Amino acid sequence: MSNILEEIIQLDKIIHEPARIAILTLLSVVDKADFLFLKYNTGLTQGNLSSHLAKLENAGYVDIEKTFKGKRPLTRIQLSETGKREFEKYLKTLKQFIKESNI
Amino acid sequence: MFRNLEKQTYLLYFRDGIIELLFGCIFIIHAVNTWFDMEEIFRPYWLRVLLIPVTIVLVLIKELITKKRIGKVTFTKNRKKKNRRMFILVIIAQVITLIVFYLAATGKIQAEQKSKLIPLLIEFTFLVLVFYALTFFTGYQTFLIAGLIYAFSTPFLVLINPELHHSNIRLGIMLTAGFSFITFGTIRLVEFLKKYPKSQHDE
Repeated sequence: MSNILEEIIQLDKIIHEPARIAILTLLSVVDKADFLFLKYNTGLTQGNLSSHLAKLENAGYVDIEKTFKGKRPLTRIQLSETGKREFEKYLKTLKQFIKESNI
Repeated sequence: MFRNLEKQTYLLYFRDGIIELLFGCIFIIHAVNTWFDMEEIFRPYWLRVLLIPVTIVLVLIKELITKKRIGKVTFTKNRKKKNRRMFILVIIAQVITLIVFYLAATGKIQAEQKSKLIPLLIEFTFLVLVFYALTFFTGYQTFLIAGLIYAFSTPFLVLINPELHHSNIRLGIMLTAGFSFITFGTIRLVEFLKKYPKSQHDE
């Protein structure tokens, strides 16, 4: 049990935030998604979503591609290999914690 | 991981009611065809061709309204594989249907043969299987409902009594199904437009 507690304390703080968990969960079920899709499905505001995406991008967990479609900006987001690996590790730790806690 | 969420995300693109509108139009076109046949006005095979512009308009609505509102997603390889299989299945079903229509139009399949037990059972099974497969690949039950209505209102009804092929019963089923699908599709589309207003900002 003490071992799992140590692992819980060391959970990735970049991932361990409700909005970012939601973003990573959505990105893990698709190949690529645009900004609008994430905005509607997470219920986050434009500014909030941008700030969380910037944190995830800085950590190397997502790849953001910014282009233009006519005059409108088009932002496409994809979970990076690091992001995929770290998110799986995060979920595995949580699963293990729940299992060992016998909740 | 998150298989259910992947399915829900995919089904999000069906929330706009376009599929229901398409099935509604298909049933109405079939009902009009049946009515023309019953009245013996003329045999309007060309009426079925109307399905092509109707489909194009609905696909355009999907591109211009749905995707502009809920954003665009590229699905995983697994989902793309399922979509490809679904597309191949629809093409095969269309080709078989066209061949049967061609054979019927050129007189190679006689009217008496059309009302025989085995071809009708094959048609019924074929319809149910194709629409069941579409439901299986997409997870969207509307396909199966539409398939069952079509299978029961055409081959099954003729199986019971060949006279029913050009009857008010068949016309009634087609019209009811058509208007029900159109009403349901319109409600879904209006709800969708209200829930997802067009974004003024970033896409």
